[in-house]
Amino acid sequence: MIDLIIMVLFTTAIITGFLAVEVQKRINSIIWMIVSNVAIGLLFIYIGAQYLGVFQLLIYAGVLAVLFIATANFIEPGDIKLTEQKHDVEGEKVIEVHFIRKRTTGTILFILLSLASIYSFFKNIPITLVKETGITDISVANKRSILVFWYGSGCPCQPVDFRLATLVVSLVLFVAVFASMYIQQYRANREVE
Amino acid sequence: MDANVAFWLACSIILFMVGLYGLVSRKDALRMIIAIEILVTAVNSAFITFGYIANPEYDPISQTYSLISLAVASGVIGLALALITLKYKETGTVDVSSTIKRLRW
Repeated sequence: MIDLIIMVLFTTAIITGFLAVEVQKRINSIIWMIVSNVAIGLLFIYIGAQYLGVFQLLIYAGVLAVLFIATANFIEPGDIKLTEQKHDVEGEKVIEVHFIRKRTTGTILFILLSLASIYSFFKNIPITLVKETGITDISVANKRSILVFWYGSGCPCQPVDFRLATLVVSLVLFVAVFASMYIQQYRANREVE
Repeated sequence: MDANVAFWLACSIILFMVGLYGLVSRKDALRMIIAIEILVTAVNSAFITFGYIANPEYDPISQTYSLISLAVASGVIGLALALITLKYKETGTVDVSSTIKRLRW
């Protein structure tokens, strides 16, 4: 019997990888590439290669994604313009920002994935903590177990999930990608003006 | 062979095919680099699958090789992005088919 999570993650990676090479606009292509790499990173973490999964999220879904967005901005700023011009009643140009609406599919999927992962992360923590460590009270005596639970033991002989590291990495990536896109939007606005 | 392992290998091969398709069918240099990245990811997942076959608990060797491969590929992709930025400055386009003759001796 094939594991359902593995099936979903691999299928997501394949479909989004295909979309990454197939869609018209470069920025959409990069967003699909990010989703594909996040799926592969989560898959690596799930099947027991935690270090590799965290590095995949850090390097491919993070650093290289930002590099790709920066390069796309350098080579054709008009392609990733995230604004829309409209004329108001008096005929003056009004620049309206439709950042979310313009990138509907990729952006909404990305936000939903992030929110779902964060929600499930916080929802399951108390149950998982009790189940894995047997701790019911959070006191100084149980500090080491709680630290190992959050940060991982760091020893390959005892594979752990690196929960906090994964959460922090995904949040930082989320902020980085959106900050870089916002900077491009700012540049595109300035070029329009 | 475990059904999971067969499924992982099949998916790795499909992902590799997707990357190969992107590499041969696109003329945009940026998308070609994205295709190369997908190729490397597929190969890494195949590595991890073979490591799982060797040792279902924990196989450090395959993970180490995948980590090295990941680092080298990220360096290559960074260099390629720098190259296409330079190409855009020189020729005004990133279409590889239109200016391929300029790369000859």
